[in-house]
Amino acid sequence: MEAGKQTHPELAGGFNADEQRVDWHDETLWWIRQKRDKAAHGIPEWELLRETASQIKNNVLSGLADYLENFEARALENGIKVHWAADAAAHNQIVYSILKEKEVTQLVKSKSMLTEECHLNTFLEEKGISVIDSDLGERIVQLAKEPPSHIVLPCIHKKKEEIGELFHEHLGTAAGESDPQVLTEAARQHLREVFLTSKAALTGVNFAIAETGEFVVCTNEGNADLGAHLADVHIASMGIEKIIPERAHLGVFLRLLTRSATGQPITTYSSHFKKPAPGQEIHLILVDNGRTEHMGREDFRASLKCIRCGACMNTCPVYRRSGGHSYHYTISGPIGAILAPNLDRKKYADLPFASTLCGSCSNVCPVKIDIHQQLYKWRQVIVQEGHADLAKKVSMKGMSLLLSSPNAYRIAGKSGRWLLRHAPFAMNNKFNPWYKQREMPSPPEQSFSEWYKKMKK
Amino acid sequence: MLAALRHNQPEHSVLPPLLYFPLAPAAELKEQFIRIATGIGSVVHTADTFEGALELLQKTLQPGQKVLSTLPELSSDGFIYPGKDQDPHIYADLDVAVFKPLVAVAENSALWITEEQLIVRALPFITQHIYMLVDVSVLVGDMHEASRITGLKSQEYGFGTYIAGPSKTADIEQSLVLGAHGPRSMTIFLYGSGT
Amino acid sequence: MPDIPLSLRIGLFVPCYVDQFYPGAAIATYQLLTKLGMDVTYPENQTCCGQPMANSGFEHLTDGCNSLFIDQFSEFDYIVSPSGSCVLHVKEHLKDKKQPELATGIRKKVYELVEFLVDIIGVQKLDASFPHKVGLHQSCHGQRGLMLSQMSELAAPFYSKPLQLLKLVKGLELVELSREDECCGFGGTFCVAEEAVSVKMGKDRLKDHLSHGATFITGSDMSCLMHMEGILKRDGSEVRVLHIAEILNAE
Repeated sequence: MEAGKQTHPELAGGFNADEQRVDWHDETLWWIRQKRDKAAHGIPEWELLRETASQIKNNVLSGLADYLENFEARALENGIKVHWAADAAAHNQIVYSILKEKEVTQLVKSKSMLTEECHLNTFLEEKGISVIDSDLGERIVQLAKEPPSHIVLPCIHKKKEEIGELFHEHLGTAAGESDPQVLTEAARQHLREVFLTSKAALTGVNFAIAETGEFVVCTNEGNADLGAHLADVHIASMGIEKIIPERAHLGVFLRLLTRSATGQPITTYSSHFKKPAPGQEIHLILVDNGRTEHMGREDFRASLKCIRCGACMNTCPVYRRSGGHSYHYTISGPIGAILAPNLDRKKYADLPFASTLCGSCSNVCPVKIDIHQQLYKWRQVIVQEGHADLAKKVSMKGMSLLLSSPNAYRIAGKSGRWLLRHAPFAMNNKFNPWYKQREMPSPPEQSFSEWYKKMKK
Repeated sequence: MLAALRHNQPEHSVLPPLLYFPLAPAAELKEQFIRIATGIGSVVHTADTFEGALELLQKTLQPGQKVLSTLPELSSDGFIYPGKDQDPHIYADLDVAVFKPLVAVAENSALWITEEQLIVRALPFITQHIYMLVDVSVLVGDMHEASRITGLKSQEYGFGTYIAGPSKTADIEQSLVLGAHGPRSMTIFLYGSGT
Repeated sequence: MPDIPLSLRIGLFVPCYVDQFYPGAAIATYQLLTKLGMDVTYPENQTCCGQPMANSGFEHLTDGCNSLFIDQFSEFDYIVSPSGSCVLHVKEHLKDKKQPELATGIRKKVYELVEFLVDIIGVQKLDASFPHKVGLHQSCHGQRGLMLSQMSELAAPFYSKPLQLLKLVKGLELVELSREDECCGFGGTFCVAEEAVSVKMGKDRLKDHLSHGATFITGSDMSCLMHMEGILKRDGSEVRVLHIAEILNAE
């Protein structure tokens, strides 16, 4: 961990200072998990769909370079300008060059976790370009100067009263107004103006079809389309893993995506951009930013299959009770915890440990990423690379020695139950985190092994 | 970049077979389509014939509304007919836009429409209300069938989109609000018998 | 009940913390298996499966535990343990470079008590009585790892091995839960490393059981129960936790 930066346990501890808020956060997300269950369980072939999507994505990973080449060739034929960005800096520079050439000073943006990953907004704002996030949730966190706390529901951590205050300050709504209907209408009016006056729009990409060179953007609000169709320049940023082979495969993913995400049967808009409209330009930026290296890690490459539905966050009992910001990475929750260490194992050493390994995430994942298994494997890598803290290292070594030797174990057991001294749940003092809110188990008269020995006599 | 990627890719993994599920009878598809569409906030009217649907459509329009249609059948009825290559900004005050989608999907009520029927891409998003005239014979059961049809080589388009219901958001405390940035309502006129 | 050869030898694997803190669960397991006609032995030099280290990222320190485990248990036809979590760890991670075939053998013959009773012995009848309102806690490793019951996330038919057994107990009234298989927040070292979230998860799980009237909470993993018991005791609650073996063995 970096000095001075707070870890997941610390940030989660802060979040838990307000228990009512934790309950509210947990219940809101659990409600979405229930909607997901209802949608999924309503499709008899659900598990077959997941398996099929998983296999399609496995195929994509195994042939990604060829698919990308194909995709690029088709996209160029379609009149799309294709750019390659090796990393975040290159991506940001490409966006900036396009905007500069067109003398654009205002960019309207729909949801793109990739641009969050690249910290595009800060970069462009430093260059004097104003960036306006048009997804309502994203706009809210942008006004609050916060990162999104969830990839699908960016302001799920905010209460309507807090949003009302923000809107009062920035959009001029009445003081104390917190009705979602009224607030949404205010945002609609405000952003309409932005859509109508922006010469450039940036969108993310949900799926890119290698066969045809087109890309698909899914939104509920219609903000990606309004931005893209009203602008002279449409920039689309995509991670290289977003490829699917053919149009015919799209059905599988569109069936899974929103049912997994929110329990909806499909997003309101699933727009297929193949050719620029007359007089318009489409620039597509293919971003690597660590993905090629990630692909080389056999145990972890499956996380490149992710379609960003957020189902693992909604189901995660830890996420629901610690909030997205506690993960201190662009993508929070279980999937964030296995993606982040690909980029920086020291900075994100705490994230794979922010889980009980309960496995619910892997079960809801529409492309069957082995999320909880990867959390376990990242723990091994992080410890082996020396990012575990020293205290833990010492106690684990001691524990291991003791448990490898039956004699040492028995002697330790006799002299007052070694667990009382070694196990975290057994130290009866205020410095022990177990004891802070829990009693220790009471030591019995005799251990099982002692009972067994007596019985066998 | 691609050379490194090639080096790091796993061994070839085969594509699974495309999924296919038998089509339900037309009446069932129709019932499912209406149920799902209504469930996600669309209003559905049914009529026996296209003419009947048009009649219903005319009745739901309010006086003074700026109404656009890309259906040749409606071009003489005082509807605005958009021109190719028009600047979409001129439609900023559009009240109603009427379209005729190519495919309707029963499992999610999504309506597939391409640039050819839209003429100006921004129209279905910029309009305050959207009307869809849907022939029962374009109903398919699920997205596999829809993707198969839209995936046909004959289905050429520069832009195409599935639209399911009015634009919506639940970003504020998960309260569903219709009319986020796009249309505040979607009205579907479902007509024909599907035979 | 299928015919079980009398010569079938069971090695009883008692996780370290059960041995030290919850001997009752292990005694009940021993007595239950014996009652069902098994030849049960507790190899006395066993210590631990190594899971506490491995789940903390120290799998490389578990070699000593692994070879000791193999020494202790190789000779048996089956290895049975009253802990889903430890069994899952052995099934998934037990390895030994010097004797790989023995390690693989053990991974195939180690069973959690409930799955052993249901899948191997095929228990249809129990002479047990427990006239109380009981909440069943589905421990994640047993449920999602060993698939002791259907997982709420999957679109698949319902089944539950622990429920199947609890239904054989006279007088037992099972309480319904709002969230049938949510994690309790124990999670090994998670319980101290992420103290705030761990305790909150435990409190929420308990609230579900308590609001539905449970006076006992049971499950097939003592570690989860220990965590919840810690919270119950701190709150001064009368509600008790009991390992499922103790209920199946209650007369």
